[in-house]
Amino acid sequence: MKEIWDFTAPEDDDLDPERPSDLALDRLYADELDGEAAARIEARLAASPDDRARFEALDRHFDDIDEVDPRRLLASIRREAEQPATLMERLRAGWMAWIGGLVVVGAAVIAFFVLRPAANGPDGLGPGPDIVTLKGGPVLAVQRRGADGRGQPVASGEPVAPGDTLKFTVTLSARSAVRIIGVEADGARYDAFPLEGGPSPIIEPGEKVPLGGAVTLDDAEGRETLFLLACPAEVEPADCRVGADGPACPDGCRFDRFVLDKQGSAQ
Amino acid sequence: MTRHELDQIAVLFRQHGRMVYRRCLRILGNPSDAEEATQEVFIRVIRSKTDSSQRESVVQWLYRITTNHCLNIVRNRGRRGELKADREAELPRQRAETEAPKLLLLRRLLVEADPQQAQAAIYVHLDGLSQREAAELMGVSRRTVGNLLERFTAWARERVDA
Repeated sequence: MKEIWDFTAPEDDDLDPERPSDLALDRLYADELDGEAAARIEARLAASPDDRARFEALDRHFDDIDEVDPRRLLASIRREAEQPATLMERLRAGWMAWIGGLVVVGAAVIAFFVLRPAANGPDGLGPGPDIVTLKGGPVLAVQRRGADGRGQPVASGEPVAPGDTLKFTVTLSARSAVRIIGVEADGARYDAFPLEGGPSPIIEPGEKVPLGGAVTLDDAEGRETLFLLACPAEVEPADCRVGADGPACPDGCRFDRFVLDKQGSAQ
Repeated sequence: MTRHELDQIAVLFRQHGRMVYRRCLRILGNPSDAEEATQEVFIRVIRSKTDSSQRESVVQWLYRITTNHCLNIVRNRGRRGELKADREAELPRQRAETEAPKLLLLRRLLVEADPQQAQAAIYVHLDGLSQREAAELMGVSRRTVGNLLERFTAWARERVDA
């Protein structure tokens, strides 16, 4: 019991708060820090032989690490990079799960693009033009928490209001690392799931699997787009670059798009 | 893959390969695992077709990718009972004697910890980053990092007691 407590608290207590972290030293070494931050750390290095030694250690060439041959390592990387992923590599990378899921989807895969069934909202509005999705691909569904605390389905494109609390469910045909990125009207992006950032949770395949947490919409009005990113379990969806026009993701990732029309008053 | 792309890989590796290897070794605790993971991280970077030069901080970007990749390895191998012997030589603060047991314990806890909490624990407890630095890397607030660490510690205490 004491051990657990010890590995957290004392480190923060007895360390010099001015001591630069390895990350800060790595960024200084890579010339990534702004002038003020760089000057502060360089002053610290000039005054602290220990920290100076740490920084100089970063300058050691890869060759100085006995157990690693950097030329062999780089050659391996380049060799791998030059070759398309083999079938075995794809299977290792989680394609087996995806292929299995697609087989389950079966005949529906033949019909490539289908219209997702309309899910009319409380005001009777039908879904917008953004509901065309790849059959078998991930599907994001959104519910708005009503006054009675129960979830009401929201259709893509349907008006929502600042202060609305939204919860999400996903339909997945394969075990996936899942993330939802929101892109606001001004292009700002945020994590809608997981709310706290960090690694994307692995979600097992299923219909309308509820995701934890809820998003409360802020005051900014305009069209906001949610992108559900579903990648093979070994691939991190956070590596996708998401813009207003859609995500650019590593191989194997798929996505669904959901539009929120944020208006000034509740519908 | 073009000659230019291959050259870019070489440049990125020469500039940051050692840092990625060092991070992998710290998280995985084993040189052969770290070397393999370093290769996988760079392959992943290449296949993502991401232009690293467009990043504000390549170091932070690689820290994140490496941490996520190595954490996945730890968790997958841990679940399969394949964690290898931990190496104590890569402690961040040169306090191997006092920290080795804590490091060993932390790595074992990472196997089953909540992924977000595990990531925060790696940055703060393993890397020795400040909560502000960890928050910046994770794209969350400092308060969130504090909450994640509190929950991680509470969970770890229960885990050890059990």
